Amino acid sequence: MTREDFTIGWRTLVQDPLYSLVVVLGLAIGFGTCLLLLGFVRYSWQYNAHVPHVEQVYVLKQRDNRQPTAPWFDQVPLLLHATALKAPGVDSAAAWLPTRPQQLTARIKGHLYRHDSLTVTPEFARTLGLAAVRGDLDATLRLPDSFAITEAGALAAFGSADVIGRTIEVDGQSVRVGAVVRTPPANTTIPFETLFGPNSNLSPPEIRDELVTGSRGWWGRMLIRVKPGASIEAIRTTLQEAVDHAAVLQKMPAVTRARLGGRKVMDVALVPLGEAYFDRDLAANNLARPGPRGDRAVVAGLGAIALLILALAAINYVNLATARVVRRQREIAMRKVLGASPRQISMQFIAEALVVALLATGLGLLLAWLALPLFATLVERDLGGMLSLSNVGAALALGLLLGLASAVNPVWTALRVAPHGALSGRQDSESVRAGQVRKLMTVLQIGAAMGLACVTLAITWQTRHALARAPGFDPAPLLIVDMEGGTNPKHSAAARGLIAALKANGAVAGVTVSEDAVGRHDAAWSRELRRPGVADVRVEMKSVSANFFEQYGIKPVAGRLFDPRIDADEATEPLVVNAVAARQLGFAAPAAAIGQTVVFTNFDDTVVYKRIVGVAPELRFHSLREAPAAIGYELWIAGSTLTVKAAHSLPETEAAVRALWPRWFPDSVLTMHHATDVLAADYAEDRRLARLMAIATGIALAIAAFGTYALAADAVQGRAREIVLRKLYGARKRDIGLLMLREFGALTLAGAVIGLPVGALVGERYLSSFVERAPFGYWNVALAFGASACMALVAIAHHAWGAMRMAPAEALRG
Amino acid sequence: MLKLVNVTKTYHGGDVRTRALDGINLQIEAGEYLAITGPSGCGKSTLLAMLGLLDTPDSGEYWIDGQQVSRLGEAHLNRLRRGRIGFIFQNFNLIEALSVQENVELALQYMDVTVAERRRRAVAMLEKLGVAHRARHRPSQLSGGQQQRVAIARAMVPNPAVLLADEPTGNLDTARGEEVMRLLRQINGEGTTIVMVTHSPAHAAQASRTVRLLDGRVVVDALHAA
Repeated sequence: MTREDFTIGWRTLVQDPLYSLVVVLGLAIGFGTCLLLLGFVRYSWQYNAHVPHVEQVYVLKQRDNRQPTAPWFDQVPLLLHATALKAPGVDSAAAWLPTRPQQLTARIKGHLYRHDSLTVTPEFARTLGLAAVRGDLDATLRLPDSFAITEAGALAAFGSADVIGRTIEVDGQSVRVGAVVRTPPANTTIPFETLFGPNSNLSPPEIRDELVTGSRGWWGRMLIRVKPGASIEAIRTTLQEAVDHAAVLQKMPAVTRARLGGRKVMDVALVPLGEAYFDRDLAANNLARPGPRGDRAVVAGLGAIALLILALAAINYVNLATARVVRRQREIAMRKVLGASPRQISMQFIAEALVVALLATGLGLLLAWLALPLFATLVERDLGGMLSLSNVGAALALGLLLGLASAVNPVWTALRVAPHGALSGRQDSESVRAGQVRKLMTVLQIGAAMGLACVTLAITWQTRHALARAPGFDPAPLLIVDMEGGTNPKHSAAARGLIAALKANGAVAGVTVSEDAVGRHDAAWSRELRRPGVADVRVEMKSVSANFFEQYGIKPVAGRLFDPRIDADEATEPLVVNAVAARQLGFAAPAAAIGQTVVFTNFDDTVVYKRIVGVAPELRFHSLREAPAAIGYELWIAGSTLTVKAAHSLPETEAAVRALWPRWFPDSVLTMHHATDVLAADYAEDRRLARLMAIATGIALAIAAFGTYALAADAVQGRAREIVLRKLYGARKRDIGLLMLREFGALTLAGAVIGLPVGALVGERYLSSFVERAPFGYWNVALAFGASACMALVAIAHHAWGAMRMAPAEALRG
Repeated sequence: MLKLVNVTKTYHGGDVRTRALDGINLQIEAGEYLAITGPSGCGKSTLLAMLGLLDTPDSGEYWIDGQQVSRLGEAHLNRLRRGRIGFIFQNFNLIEALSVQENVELALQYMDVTVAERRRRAVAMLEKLGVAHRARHRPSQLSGGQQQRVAIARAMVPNPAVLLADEPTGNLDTARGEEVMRLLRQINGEGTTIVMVTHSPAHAAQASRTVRLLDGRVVVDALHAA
C-alpha cells in the first residue's frame, strides 16, 4: 500500500460527501454500539483481573449440608485460616469479615460516611497484591486504632488523598488513617473503602479472637494464593479434612444429623477468583451478601450481539462500497490498462476500506464516549474505566480488521473487472452473482434484526409480566427501612423509640417489624417441621411482628393471621403457614390445618411445638424463577427491617422517616426503599438485559432498514428499463408496486426463515429459567416478524413510489 | 514488430456465440501508422484489445517483437503492456478523482519511477501538449479537446513503442478532432507505432496504411501512397 492509495481513498470520500457521511456514520454507529457492548462484556469478564497473578488466587466456599436446602456460601469457618496458612502449596491465606454487617458508618467532622469496610487478617494485602501509596499498610493493619483507606475513599471522606493521621469516629471511638491504598476497580467481588486489622478496637473481643483462632466455628470470607504448580485438589482436601474433624462444627440437633445421612457437614470448594463473578449459586445471610454476579451465557451472548451489530453495519458498508466499485469500473479498467497489477488494484481498495474503517472507528469511539454515562446508568455498572488506552487500542485494531474484512468483496469485484468490456461500456452493471451476494447479505441483516427483536420481546414481555405480578399485597404505600448492624426493637431502645415516634406521626399508618423485606433474600432460613405420619417438611421461616399481616393488608385463607390484639410479639406457639406448607404437611385443605400442632428441633436439640392458627395467602417472597415454597410465619421482633405504611402520601411518610431517623440513630445513615423497588430488585438483571437488547434491536432494525433502502434503490435503477417496458405494455402503478413488494417480500420472508427460529429458540432458553411464564405464546415471533416487515415496507416505499411514477420516455432516454 | 497469425476470438453470451475475429493475419511494423476501419460489430475494438494485450485469442498466435504472447497469464501481460503500449479512447477515460497532472502521472505509478521523476515527466508532457496550465484542474472542468490531449499525454508519458487509439475523435467536434489527428501524426513522426480505429475515412486517410474488417475478417489491407 502506498501513500497514493490512501490519498485516493480520502479524496474519493471527500468528493462524494453524502455517500461518505452515510457510510462512515452508519459504520460508526455500529462500531460505537459494538464498543459499548464489548466494553460491558470485558468489564464483566475482567472482574478481579486487577489482582496480580489472579490465576493463583482462589475463593473458599462451602455448601452447608446442615441446612435443608444445602446452599453454597462464599463464607467458610474461620478455623480454616490457620489450616490454609500451613497447607502445602499455599503461599498466603487471608480471612476477613465486614467490619459491620453490610456497611460501616463513620462520622467525619459532623457528616456521616457509609461505605464498605472489611476487618482483615494481616495476609490480606499479600494475598490480594495490595500496596500502600502512602503510609505503612502492614503496620496499620497490626495497630488497634489505625485503618487503611483507598484513594477514592479518602477523597469521598476527606476531600483529599493526603490523609495520613486524619481520624474518623465509629460508635464513639476514634480511629486514624495509617495508610492509603490504590482504589480497586469497580469490577471486583471484594469491594472496600476501608480496611481494619484483626486487633482493631472497632471489633468486639470475640470477633478479634475468632479471626485469630476460629474456635467458635464462626464464618468469614477467605482467599488463598497458591504457589505455582500447587495441587488445588490437595489443598481442598486438606481444608475439607479440617472441617470434617472440627469438633465445633459437628454439634447439631440429632434430627439434622439424621438428615445428613452419610454426607459431610460442609463440602469445601475452591473457585478461581477470576471466575468468582460468574459464581451465581451463592446464598446470602446476615453476615454478608455475595454482591452482584453475572451470568456467563448472558455476557457471552451480549458479546456475540456486539459483533453481530458490527457485522450488520459492515454489511451495509460492503454493499455500498461494492456498488461504488461497479460504478467505477472504467477507472479500474483504465488502471489495469496502464499496468496496475491485481495486487496494486487490491491495495488501492483495501486502502479505501481502511480509510473508511478508521474514520468510522474514530467517530465510533467518540459516540461511545458521549453515550457512556447513559449506557452505564442503563446497565447499572461503573464503566468509567472503559475507554482506557488498552481498550482504545483494541478498538483501533478491531477497526483495522473490519477494514480488511470489508475490503474483500469490493476487491473481488474490482479484480473481476475486464478492461476491454468496461472501457467499451459493455460491463456497466454488477454481475448476477455479485447482485445475489448483496441480496443475501441484506437477507442476513433482516434475519438478524428479526431474531433480535424476537428475543427482546420475549425478555421484555416476561420481565413486565413478572414486575406486574401481584405480590399478594399492595406495596404502593409501603416503605422499607433497614436498621444497621442487626439493630432490632427487641434489644435496642433506639429502635423502639423510632418505632414509637413513627407510630405517633400523622403521616404514618403503622410500623411492622420483620427479619427481611418481602421480595428480598438476605436472611432466608428454614426449619424442618414434623407431624405424625408425614415426612419432614422443609419450611422457609419468616419472623415477623404481630401486626405484620394487618399492616400489609393481608387476609387469611383459613383460620386467622397474627393479631396484635391476641398475640404477643414474642409468643412462641402461634404459627401461620401458607397453602403450600399446609399441603406438604399433609392437610387436605387449608382449613384442616387450623389448630394442628407441628414440631421442630432447635439447634440446641430442644423440641419446639407450634400450633397452626391460620393459613396465609401467597406472598411473593421469591421471583417467578422459583416455584412457590412452603412458608411459615412465627412471631419475633428481633428483626432489623421495618415496614412503614403511609397514612396519606408516600412522599409525606418518607419525609417523616427522614426527619425522625437522626434523632434515634444520629450515627447511622438512613437506608430506605420503596417496597415496589424491593420487589422489582429480583428482576434488575432482566430489566438491564431487556434495555440492552432493546438498544441492540433498535440499531439492528435501523441498519437493516438502511440496507434494504439501498438495495431497493439499486433494484429500481437496475430494473428501470424493465419497469418502463412493463408500463409500455399496460402495467399500472399498483402492478409496479406489487412487483417491488414481491421482490422485497421474498427477501423479508427469507430473513424470517433464518432469524425467527434462532430468535424463538434463544427466547425459549431465556424463558426456561422461569417457573411461571407470561402467557404470550409465540406472539413475540409474530410481532418480531411484523415489525421487521413494516421496517422493510417503509425502507422500500420511497423507491417503490419512484418506480411507480417513473416516466417511460425519460427512462428510455437515460 | 506486432504479428497476428490466424487469430480467432469468439464471445459467448448465454446460448449465443459471436465470432468477433475470424482467422486474422496481420503484421504491423515499427513506426507504422495503421488505421482500422469497418462497420459496427466487425471486430475493430476486439482487434485493438487483442493488440493491446487486454484480451487473448482463442486460437492462433500473437507475436510482439519476436515473443509469443497469446498464451500468457494476466500478470505477465500486465508487465508486457506496462510502459510499452499506450491507449487513448473515444470517451477519454480520465479519472475524475484525480487532477489532470495526477491522471498523467498515473501511467508512471505502476512502473519503477520515483515520485519526483513522475512529476517532472508529467509536467513536461502536459507542456508539450499545451495543457500544463490546467494541471490542477479536474477532468470534468476541461473541454473535450483538452481532455483528449490529457489522455494522449497519459498514454505517451511512459514513452511507449505503440499507441492504440480507439476512435480518438469520436466525441470531438471537427476542429478539435483535427487537433488530435495532428498530434497523432506528430507522435508517429517521432517514431511511435500508431494503430487507430476510426469510422472516418478522412481520418483513416491520414494514416500510412488502412486495414478494413468485415465480420471479423480482413477484407482490405492497403498501403496509402506517400
